[in-house]
Parts: sequence; C-alpha cells; structure tokens
Amino acid sequence: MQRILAADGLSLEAPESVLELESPNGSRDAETDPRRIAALIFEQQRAPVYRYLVSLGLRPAVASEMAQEAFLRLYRHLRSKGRGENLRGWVFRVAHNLAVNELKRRGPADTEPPETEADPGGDPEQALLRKERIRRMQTAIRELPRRQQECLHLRAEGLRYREIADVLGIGVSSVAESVQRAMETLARSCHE
Amino acid sequence: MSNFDRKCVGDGVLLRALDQELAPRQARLVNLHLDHCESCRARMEAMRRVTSQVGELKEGVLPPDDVRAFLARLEWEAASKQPELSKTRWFATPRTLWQQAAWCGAVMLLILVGVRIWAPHPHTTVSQITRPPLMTVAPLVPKQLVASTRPAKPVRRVHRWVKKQAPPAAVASEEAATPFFPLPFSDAALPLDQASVIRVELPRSALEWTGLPVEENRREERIRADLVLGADGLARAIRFVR
Repeated sequence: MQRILAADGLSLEAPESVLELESPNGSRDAETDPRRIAALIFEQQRAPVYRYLVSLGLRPAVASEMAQEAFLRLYRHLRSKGRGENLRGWVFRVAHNLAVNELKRRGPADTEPPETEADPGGDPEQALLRKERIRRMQTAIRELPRRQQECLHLRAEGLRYREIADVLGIGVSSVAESVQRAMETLARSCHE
Repeated sequence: MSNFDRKCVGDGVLLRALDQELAPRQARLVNLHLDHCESCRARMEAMRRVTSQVGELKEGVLPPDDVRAFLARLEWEAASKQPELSKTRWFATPRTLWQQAAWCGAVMLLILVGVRIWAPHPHTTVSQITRPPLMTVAPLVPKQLVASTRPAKPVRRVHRWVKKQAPPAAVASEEAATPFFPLPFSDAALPLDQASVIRVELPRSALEWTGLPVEENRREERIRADLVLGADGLARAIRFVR
C-alpha cells in the first residue's frame, strides 16, 4: 500500500491494483493521472457511496452499477476539467442524481433493507436485542420525510453539512435543520 | 462563569457541536458549558446514542467486490478516447427514442420555416416587383375572398406605406384588365386588414393559372399583374393589368 494525497486533500491508501495502472502517455504519477485519482477515490469511497444508494432504496445490484457509473463520470470530469475541489462531494452528488433518476424510472426496491450481520461470538440475547433495535431504527428512518432521510444517511457516511448541502442542492441551514428534526424524531421513537 | 456557561444550549447547537460543525470559539464555549451542565451533557449523550444506532445500520451493508470490474471499465473508458464532453455537449447523441424524435422534429420544423420564409414565389421576378399605384385593399379584392357567412364591409384600415400613395380607385378601374381571380392556395378567411397588393411582372403563361387562353408563341412575353398577398407573404389572388 502506498499513501497518496489526492486532489482535494483526501489521503488515499493506494492498493497495488491501482498503482499498476499506467496512463496512456506512460505516466505513473498518481497525483496528475485522472484515471489513477478516480481509481483511488473509488477504492476509498465506493462503500459509502454504495451504502448511501442502498439506503435511498435502490436494489443492491443497481446500487453497485450506479456507484460505478458515478466514479466513471468522476474520471471523465477529471479528464476534461483537471483537478477539482471536493471530489467526494462531487461523486456523492452525481450518485444521488443518478439514484433519483433511477428511482423515478423504476421505483424503489420492494425488498426490505439488508439486515446487518450479527456478531457470531456475542451473547445471543444481546444479539437479539441489537437486531430488534436496528429493526426499530430502520422503521423509524423509513417514516421520516425524504429530505431528512437523505441528510441523515449522508451525515452517517461522514459528510460535512457543507458537503451534504452541495449534494442535495440545498442550504447548509436546511441541512442542519433537517438533521436536527430527524434526530429528534429518532430519539423519541427510541424511547418509546 | 460567563452567561453562556449558565444558559442551557439548544438542541441545534448541541447537534452541531457533536458533528463538529461549530466555529472553534463557539465549540469552546459549548464545551465549557457541558463541563458544568448535567442536563445538556445528557441530551448530547442521547444524540450520540442515536447517531451510533444510525451508524449501526450501515455496518452490515457491504458493496460487492467490484474493484476489478471497475478498473476494467476505467481502462476501457480511457482506451476508447471519447471526445471531451464539454466539446460535444451541444450535439451529443440523444440517448432515448423520444429525444431523437424531438430532435428530428425540431430540425424539420426549422427547415420548413426556413423554406417558407426564403423560398421565392414561382414566376415572380423579385427585382421587378413594384409598388402598386393604388393600395386600398377592399375595392381590389373580389367577393370570393371574403368569408361568405359575413357581409362584406369596407375595410377602413390600410397599410401605412400604402396610405401614402395617390388615391387608388380611378387608376384601378382604368388599368385592370381582368377581375381578381383567387389562386389555388387562397384562403377565404384571409383578414383583409392584413392583406397587401403588389405589382409584379410575370410571363404571359401565368394567364393559365386563371384559365385564360395563352397564345403559344407569346408565352414568354412579360405582362403585369397585381397580387393580393396575405400577411404570411403567400399570394391569394391575382388580376392582370394593362
């Protein structure tokens, strides 16, 4: 693994598979080759983007496809515009827009959201309680307004309010308000 | 102890403090307050608990191992050397069928409008078109051109450039060799206040349009005619003048 500072300050762990990529002009400079930057950001951000797309209601296979498409667009963007600011926010925004279009076209997945893995070595009673808690939380989140859900999921993926505002095309204060209301609702439902 | 230390912090500020979205000075004040206020600490702890529970939902959701697939797509994308998006955005190939149909329709419409505007009318020599000496439209237009359901009323409005001409009636009756004949594409509902009359030179063969006889050896001779033009520029009626 090699540590590389990408365009917007993201510190990326570059696996061998990515470092093997050679640009058409023979350059192996990860900081200037858009293909390598896109590959590195994909490596680091594919799980958060995928999780966000699944949380929006896309089927896992479609979410994976959409995530790849978003990173391919990032590559095209880097190729045409050079280095950009806040590439993580850029990818999330593209992925969000792709997901919204897809959901308009096909509708959300009918299946329940994927269940989290129980800790195999843990106390069965605790595992059961945890499972129940997660199920309740999933239900409570699904009942939130769409905007609050989006803000909450993006926040859970570690995006700053400014980045969330960019992804959703709203103001930072709206993000703060949406997150706060969502948290209040969830806190109430947790106590019930 | 400042006033801020004593006063409890709102949920919004607490949440922003939890998310590290406060300015450094404000964050310091909130932390100072939290050191002394048990109730605010409890509220913040509750928020932290909800946050971690939301985070738990994400733990089991793992993406498929698609790194190799993505790298292959990336390789293919780089090898295909597609033109830059920014340079082709205007005429990029539309992706769906209805988009293609809309593009075709728009282009066809543009072509039709262009042809309609710029195509010359048959048998008219543009350079030889002259303004007619008489320009009150109503007396020159035959009754066929007026909608039959409405009584023919004299039209008071006259084109501005026509109005400046000499009084028309006498010349019209002297010069006119034939009455007005409607042309095949004439429109009986043509609003007369939008019509205008122009004088043109045409080959004698144009008499055939109205069913008049033409001598074979004089077909190419030039004769003069008055054309009634609609606002769209199409000729609606013709009369021949001496």
